[in-house]
Amino acid sequence: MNMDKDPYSVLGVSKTAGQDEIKKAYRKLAKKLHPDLNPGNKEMERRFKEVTAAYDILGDAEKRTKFDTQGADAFNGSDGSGFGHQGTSRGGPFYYQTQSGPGGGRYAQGFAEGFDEDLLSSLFGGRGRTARAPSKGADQHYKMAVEFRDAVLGAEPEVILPDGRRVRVKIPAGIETGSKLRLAGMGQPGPAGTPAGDLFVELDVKPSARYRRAGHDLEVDLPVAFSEAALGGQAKVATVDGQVMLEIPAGVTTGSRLRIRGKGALDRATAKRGDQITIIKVMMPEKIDDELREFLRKWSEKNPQNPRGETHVS
Amino acid sequence: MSRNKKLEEVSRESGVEPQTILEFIHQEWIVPVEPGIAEGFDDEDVARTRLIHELRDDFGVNDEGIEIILHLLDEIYALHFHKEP
Repeated sequence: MNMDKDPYSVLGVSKTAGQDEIKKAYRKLAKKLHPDLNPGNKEMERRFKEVTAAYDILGDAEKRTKFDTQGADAFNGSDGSGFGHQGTSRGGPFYYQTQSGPGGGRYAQGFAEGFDEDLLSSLFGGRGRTARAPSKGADQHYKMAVEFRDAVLGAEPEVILPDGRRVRVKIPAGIETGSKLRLAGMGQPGPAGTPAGDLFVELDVKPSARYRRAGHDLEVDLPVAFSEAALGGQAKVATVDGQVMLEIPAGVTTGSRLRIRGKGALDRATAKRGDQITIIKVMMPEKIDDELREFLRKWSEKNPQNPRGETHVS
Repeated sequence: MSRNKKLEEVSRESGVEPQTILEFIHQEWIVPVEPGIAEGFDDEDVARTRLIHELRDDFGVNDEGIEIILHLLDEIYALHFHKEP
């Protein structure tokens, strides 16, 4: 922001202008300069930001008084507000900037498919995205992402329906990706006197960084120290219900599966929960020091080991 | 591009009240990527929300006007950025 510019001259108003006059001047300039009405015009965008920053001060009687008495320096502080910042409401990209590039322009895509359509007939024929408005009383189908833990334990998250209604949806414990929920009477309203359609929600369970679903069981990797694997011990292990203490038998190895009963997903047929399968992953010490090296050398001479058997012999 | 913003995040980033955003959704001006667990908005929704708010509050455009402007903008951007589908 160019701090040399006086917000009054940016908006083209006198220092004695009333708030209404300032607002009017801002609106007039903003309409002309708004980057979404001039996509890609950097000069217009620069001026729009200038005008917005000026209005941020002058449009607010309190800030304006501060500017009048203390000057631009009052807004140069480290609080990051006011002149020289762009106003709190102008942080992110302009709308047009979200339109290019992969994944952008969702709203425009409805048009990209039918350019031969008469512009005016599409304009006055109703909303742009008519494909989104099913006939009355119709069922509606949606997909919804569900957190992994909610799918295992069940949850009742709040859902925003396409018409802006917020409802709670009961997600039963143990559901898997592809499960469908039916919300009776939550679809499109029917023509007068007839019932509304139903809303079908297909659930898409988000993957978890920690757990893998194997039927009703959950698999979890558990790194254990080389010495813990050899000597056994106890380890705190996360489950979807919280931490538990797990007994590690002496002599486990990478791939050993330790079962924690009842910490899996609900099997709706038997109303019993599956187990958590904790899969051991033996970790070598970060540093192999002389003592360990010397010990292992002597020990392996007396105890030759061939874990590969014949499989890697060519 | 993040596609799983919650309504509250859209509100915070755009500076528009959640209730007002719900009204925009009701008008079909804003359509979540996937109506889901109170999330499923992306950066485009944030920018569009802010734009609608500016049109209404700063420019004094009424709701019918918003509808036409959004429609024309969508069409212009389709021509601008998505000439080859």
